[in-house]
Amino acid sequence: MTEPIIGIDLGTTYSCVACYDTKTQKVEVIESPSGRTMPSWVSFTPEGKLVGMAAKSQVASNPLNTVYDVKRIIGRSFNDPVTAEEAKSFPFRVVEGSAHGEPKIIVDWRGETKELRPEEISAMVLAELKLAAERHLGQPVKSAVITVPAHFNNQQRQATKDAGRIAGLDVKRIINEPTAAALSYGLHAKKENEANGTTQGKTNVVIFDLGGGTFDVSVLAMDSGVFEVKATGGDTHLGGEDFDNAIMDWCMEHIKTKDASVYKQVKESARAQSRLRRAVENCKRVLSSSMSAEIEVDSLVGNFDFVVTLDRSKFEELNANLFKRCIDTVKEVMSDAACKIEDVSDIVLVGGSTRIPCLQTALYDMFNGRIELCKSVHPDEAVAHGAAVQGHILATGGSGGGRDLAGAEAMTDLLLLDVTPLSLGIELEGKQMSTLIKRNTPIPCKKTRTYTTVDDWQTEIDVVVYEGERAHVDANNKLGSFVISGVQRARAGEPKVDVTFALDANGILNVSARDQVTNAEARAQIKAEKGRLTAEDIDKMIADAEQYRAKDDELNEKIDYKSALEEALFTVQSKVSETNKPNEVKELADLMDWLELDSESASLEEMKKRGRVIEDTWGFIVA
Amino acid sequence: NGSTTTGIGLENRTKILLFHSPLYEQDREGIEKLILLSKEIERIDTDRQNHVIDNKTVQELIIQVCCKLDCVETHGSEALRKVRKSMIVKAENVAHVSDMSER
Repeated sequence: MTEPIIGIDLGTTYSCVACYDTKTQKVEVIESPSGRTMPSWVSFTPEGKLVGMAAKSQVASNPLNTVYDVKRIIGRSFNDPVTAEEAKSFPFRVVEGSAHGEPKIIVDWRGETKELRPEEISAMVLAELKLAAERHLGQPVKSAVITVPAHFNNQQRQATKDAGRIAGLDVKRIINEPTAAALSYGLHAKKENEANGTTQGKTNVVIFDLGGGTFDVSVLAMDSGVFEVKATGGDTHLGGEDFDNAIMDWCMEHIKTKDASVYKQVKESARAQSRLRRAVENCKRVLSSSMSAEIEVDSLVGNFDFVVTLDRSKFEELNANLFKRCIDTVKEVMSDAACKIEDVSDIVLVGGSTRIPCLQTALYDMFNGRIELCKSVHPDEAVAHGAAVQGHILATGGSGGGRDLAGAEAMTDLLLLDVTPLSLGIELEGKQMSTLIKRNTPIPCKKTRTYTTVDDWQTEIDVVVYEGERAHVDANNKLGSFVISGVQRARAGEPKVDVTFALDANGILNVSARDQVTNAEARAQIKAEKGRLTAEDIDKMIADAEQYRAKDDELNEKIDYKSALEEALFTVQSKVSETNKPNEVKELADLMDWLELDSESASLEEMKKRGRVIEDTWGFIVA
Repeated sequence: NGSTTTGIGLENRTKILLFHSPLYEQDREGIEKLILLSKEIERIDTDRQNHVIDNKTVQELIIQVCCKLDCVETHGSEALRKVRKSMIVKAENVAHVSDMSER
């Protein structure tokens, strides 16, 4: 009997666990005491801790010790603007941790004040899901596949993996949520089947994920059972609640025209607002299957009974802008991925809000009615479902599988390719970025480049790791640094140090440096010491990089020319020391001073001027 | 005793009496839910009086109870709707009293 590898969708508001059931030979979503999806909430009390629905339902009586939405800050530093922004709206306290500047959550637990890292909170959610899986399967569960948003960076992935480890899980793989959604529909298997029958080349899948508060669109490329994330986009603050807000406003207008004094009371009463919001949310759900729905709240305030009928067309009119934004995002992401309408073979719907018929129709029409939308898997469970498919493939080495995994049998080496969102590299002399792994390289990947020393007899090298697209490291994001000592003692340029970047399937970066002669070695795993980038920052950096590429090219040219100039001057120096002509000695000293003191801020033209002096005086071509 | 049941009109124990009116069955589910929620309101009030929970908590819990009350389906039954309304009033009273004592 193979050991099960469960699939976990660790969501911002809700989490879900699924596992391949060997008896039914199907992936099953496992019910926890909180239901098929569990609120990602943890609450601390004098008696102990509560997780899931139990934690959420007692928030009113214990708001300071009830923790939720930690996914918004996991893997981020305390100084990250996102952490600060989110912390403002949290009722629980978030402070700066002493060691690495990571955020810590303060709670009273069993009569003691405790400081907990976001990873620890997530671990509690994961442990609860693990327990539910163990009860369901009747055996211990040790391994899991956990999903993260496609835009999660290294640190966020590492932190999620750490959370798994704290929960006692061996995290076999961290996969992207859209990739998991594609797997849940067995698109990898479908591809195989089609390949066996008809000839079909590389295809693309669009994943449309509209949840309670976030919206993500991804384009995945599929080729011979290999998935690759080509582009992602979306809005971290767009979801079901926004549609509710539009209906809320409409209701309030309705009340206003009926009775101004009631309107004022409703507006001021938190209770009336909450009750109306609940009714509105319910109405929105009904409208996904009916053409009209009633919003009815008796005694909303005083004796005022609020009853109104909303039909589907009105609902669509109220939210037309938001729906348009969603569809526009799909177009943008497709354009980023350089993917045409006819290149797409499947569209997968994820998240409760994708049940809205108008959105489905818009997507269907966008692809000229050519593609049936994948919506048969419960939209709130598709990601966990897909993670379990991946877990099963890993558990059985790809050779096992039931009917719904029939295609998987044929693809023992199913690879899930995610890409690195930003280029990774190290700092060179002159603050130049030397890229080892280019942006959008499928992971896992490994790359080694050889570097050398700048000064004579230098035995130590600082290896500073950056991510970003700019040629100058100052414009990129520093990830960490380490020192390699024991480098061969030799003249500048003689030692050879291999620097290796290994980005594993979970997107975690291991950097190592080794001297080819002395075998001295140093390595580092990138730790969350510094504030990392948000998805917006990444987008901005990429946009900036495009914009500044010309500038950067000039900078590169300047740096190259400067080192050529240095080289030429050193050669000249040895020549001048032999001839010892006074005018030449003076000229050289001036040039050396200029190089040392003024060259930093000099333009390329000014440098070339110096180059011409060298050429004219000593006949050296500087290039 | 046989003579007594015959005396009141029951023969061979074929006749039984309805404990509730015919409408009750239709509303039963709703009524049962409302009874439970009524008890919840009373519990909040007791906790409030015993200072187990503060006003802010009372307000939040009452909002939750009101939302649950709104969720009780009346299926068009006026009687049930009346009971539901009275429960809302009862819940709001607890919140009101709590607010007053806070001031």
